[in-house]
Amino acid sequence: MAIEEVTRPAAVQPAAETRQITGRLAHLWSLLRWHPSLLAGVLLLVVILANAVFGPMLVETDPLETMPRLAREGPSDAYPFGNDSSGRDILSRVVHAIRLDLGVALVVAGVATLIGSTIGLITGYLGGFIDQLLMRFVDILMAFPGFLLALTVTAVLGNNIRTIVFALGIAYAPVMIRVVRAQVLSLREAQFIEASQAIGTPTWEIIFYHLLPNTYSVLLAQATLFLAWAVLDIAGLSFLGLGIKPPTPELGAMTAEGAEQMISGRWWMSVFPGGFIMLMALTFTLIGDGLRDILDPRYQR
Amino acid sequence: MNDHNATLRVEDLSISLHTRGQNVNIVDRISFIVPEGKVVGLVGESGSGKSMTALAIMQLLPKSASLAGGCIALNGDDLTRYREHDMQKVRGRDIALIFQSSKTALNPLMTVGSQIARVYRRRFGHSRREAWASAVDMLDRVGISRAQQRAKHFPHQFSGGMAQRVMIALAVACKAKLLIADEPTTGLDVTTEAQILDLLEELRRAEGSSLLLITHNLGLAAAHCDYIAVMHAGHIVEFGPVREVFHNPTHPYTQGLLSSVARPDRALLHGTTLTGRAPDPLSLPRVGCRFIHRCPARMPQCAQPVPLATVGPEHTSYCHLYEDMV
Repeated sequence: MAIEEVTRPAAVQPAAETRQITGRLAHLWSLLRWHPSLLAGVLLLVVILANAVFGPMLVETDPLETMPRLAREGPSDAYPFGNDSSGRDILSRVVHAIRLDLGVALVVAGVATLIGSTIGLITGYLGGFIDQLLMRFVDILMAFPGFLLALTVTAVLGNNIRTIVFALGIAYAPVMIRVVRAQVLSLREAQFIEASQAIGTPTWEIIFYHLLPNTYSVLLAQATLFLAWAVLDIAGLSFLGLGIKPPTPELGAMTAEGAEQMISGRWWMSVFPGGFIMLMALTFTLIGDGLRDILDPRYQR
Repeated sequence: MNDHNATLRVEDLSISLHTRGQNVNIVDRISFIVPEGKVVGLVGESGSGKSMTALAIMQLLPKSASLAGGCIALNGDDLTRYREHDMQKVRGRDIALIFQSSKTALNPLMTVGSQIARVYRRRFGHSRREAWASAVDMLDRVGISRAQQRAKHFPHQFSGGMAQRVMIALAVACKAKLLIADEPTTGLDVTTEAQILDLLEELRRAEGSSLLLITHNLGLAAAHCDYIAVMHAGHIVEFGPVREVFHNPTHPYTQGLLSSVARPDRALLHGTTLTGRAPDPLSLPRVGCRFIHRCPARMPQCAQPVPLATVGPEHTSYCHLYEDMV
């Protein structure tokens, strides 16, 4: 008898949980169906992620291996994207470059989001003199175009991946500070914040337990847009020779290298890497805009 | 009034509001006590300073307002001298505030169970599991059926009355000695209103807390309070045991307020109800009675500083009519 009573609820629970999960999936699907651009973005993301994760395993050629005999050869069966001026396999280089660019972009967006949201949350909630001082500093940073700022920083500090992350992180963080701070300023007056103060909730708990989750919507949309910007800016810096240096496979640097050959009709050397820069930026822009539409408070289903 | 067993003792409290370049005392030298284990009602029209008084006790006044004098003694300790850091410990441990609109007073993104569980974790150092169990228990105590499941629900899945029960659970979970309920039943059905107040009363008795009940509803105050403080334009015009005040109202404002209550056995007599509206806080007289322009018993000396007269046992009135009883 006792055993039966114990087992019965356990048997009911998985069924309820499965229902909950299918319910959530159905909800997700309905959201995507009504936002075709978001759906397109998500599909592209799946392709790019799969490429970044599995691509290097599938392409056997070493991206750094030079084959002088094949230099500047056009697309062929063996090398579908053709070969560059040193005879390296462009397909292999593009596949590895997507992984690198995506990785660096993720780190840049992550750093900018983490720094920006923490500062925005804390100073936005506490306010006061430090908040004012910091916001003026942010104004100064935002007066520079982000790319120009990153360009200056990398030019001064030398170009390696760490500098790029640092430079772009500084360039983007002010945007996140503003976005999160604006959300916090309106939330600070919300009654549930006052009510939680009234039962003695400590400040850190209000910030991280009550405020932070309520900024997730804007935070997520902005972080995705950071990814789009980061892909473009990393490639842009490398294109100008201030980012990742050849021979490391990087989309911007490859495009720059190929651009020199464009005039002689060797389009494959810049079009393939350039096309993937565009595709990645498009992916994150579509997702970012889609998320912003869905998570916007004015959006009601 | 016996001083020794007052949970809360407010003395000469003034709150100043800064608007359009001027400072106005929207609450002006009010004094009252909340005796231990008793319910005190703070009644008055909207804008009379009731909610401001509650926020001042919590030291949670908005930026535009500030404390302009007086003392707020909780069990003998003056809260006005506390720094924000210490005040944060007092809130929730010694005083808990129940807000008027419960649905906006709960975090929309957290389940109600986890919001209550936070209180247990913080206040009593419960483990995650213990805190959750206590939260479910508390929800059950405030009369939410299937508390086990309901604890996992979000605030928007609750009706107004149910959300108010959650709000009460949140405040009572603190086990504070003093509860302040700011219009806890505004916007609820009369039946729900009665249930909520009965619940609050029951829990309050069980925990042995005192309650400061802020309401504009006189019937409610009459039914649930031991003492009553009548507020008008930032003054407490009358304070006393609830029966005394209702059966023998001394201040013309209290008399007007009571005769404004519709009752089937009595027609509203023209001339006995209150005329005009609560005065504009910006044009309040600096000294003297603030009821002067609406008062049927106006006298020349009303513009002079008003004496606090003792008109009965524990019963005080803030009016020139009782000057000889000071």
